[in-house]
Amino acid sequence: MQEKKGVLEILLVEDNEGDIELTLVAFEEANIDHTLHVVNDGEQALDFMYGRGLFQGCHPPHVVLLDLNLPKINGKEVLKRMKSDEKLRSIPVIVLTSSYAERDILESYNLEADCYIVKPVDWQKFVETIKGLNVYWDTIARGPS
Amino acid sequence: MINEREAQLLEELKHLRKDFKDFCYRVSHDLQGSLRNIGGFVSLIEGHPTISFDDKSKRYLAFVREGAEKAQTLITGLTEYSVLLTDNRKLSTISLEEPFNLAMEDIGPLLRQRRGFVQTKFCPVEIFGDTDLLRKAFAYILNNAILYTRVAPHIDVTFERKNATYLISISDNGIGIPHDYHEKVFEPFERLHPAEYFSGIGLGLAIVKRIISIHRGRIWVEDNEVGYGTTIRMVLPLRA
Repeated sequence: MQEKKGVLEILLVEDNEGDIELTLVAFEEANIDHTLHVVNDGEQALDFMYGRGLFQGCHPPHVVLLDLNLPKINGKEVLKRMKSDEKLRSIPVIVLTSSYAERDILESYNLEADCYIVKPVDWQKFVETIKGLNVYWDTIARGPS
Repeated sequence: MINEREAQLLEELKHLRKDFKDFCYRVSHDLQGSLRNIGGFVSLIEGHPTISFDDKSKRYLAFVREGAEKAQTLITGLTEYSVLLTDNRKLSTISLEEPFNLAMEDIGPLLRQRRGFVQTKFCPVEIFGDTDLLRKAFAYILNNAILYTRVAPHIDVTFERKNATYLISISDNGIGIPHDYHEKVFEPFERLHPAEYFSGIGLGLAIVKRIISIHRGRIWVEDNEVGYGTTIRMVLPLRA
């Protein structure tokens, strides 16, 4: 049975402080009912999702926004581990890339990410992209409770 | 048959190619991160509900933001060009139709926006090449033909078989390229017009030339017989 529309629990995995701030503001401008959890590296991302270490008591989010270039465990590794774990593989992962060129690498590695967002040059476009996430969430990402 | 020294050099070359490519992506990624922050936060300041700016401040902020955006475009282009310098991908037999049709899709929105049209005289052929690279090359040339014009763009594309090669000609009705610059336009950063008239960072044709070189082809510019506009001609070999 589908759960009622609730608050979108998002895990943002990003190490650039500026990008984190811009993402927080973009979510506010996009007017999405959400809770944004932020971690700064791949190790913390996995700890959060497994509710261990510093993140005891945390639950896997509804969706993960994953930067690829991360300290400790990088984004590709986080994605691989998520997709090979029964508990985490169904969580939609939106990969954030910095530049168009990186698509070549992504495609060739076949990461099984659910979608890619190229961090846009233009601020307005970034807000629109985040607004699009709301549509994605409402139409595709919701699963049965 | 290659000797041990040659094998060693080949191995070094392979590593160098990979290291260079990784370096380019790394530098590009880090620079893009900083530029994104500059552009993004300036936009936030510009649109801030409670801070007000006089006209001069607004102008200065716009310069900062546009500078950051331009730098981002430049870095993307540079990365693309740099990576092509060491590209050693294997070419294969492909239909020329595919990259051309894909390029036409890529430029479709801009063409419609500028109320232009493209007339094509096509004869299907298989050549030795790479679909992605040729798509990029065609898209760049078509894009230029659409942008560098003061009227609605009319573009003629013809494909002709000439012995063991294939000649592709793309003619436009645009502002033309002065004869003295027919070779220089293919060099990186050669821009012929002030930024306020026609935007462009001057890398597109350098990238196209690099792609045609990878295909062991040739590319050159000709003036149109009618007296205005430009024709870009490319010759590609049909087989390896």
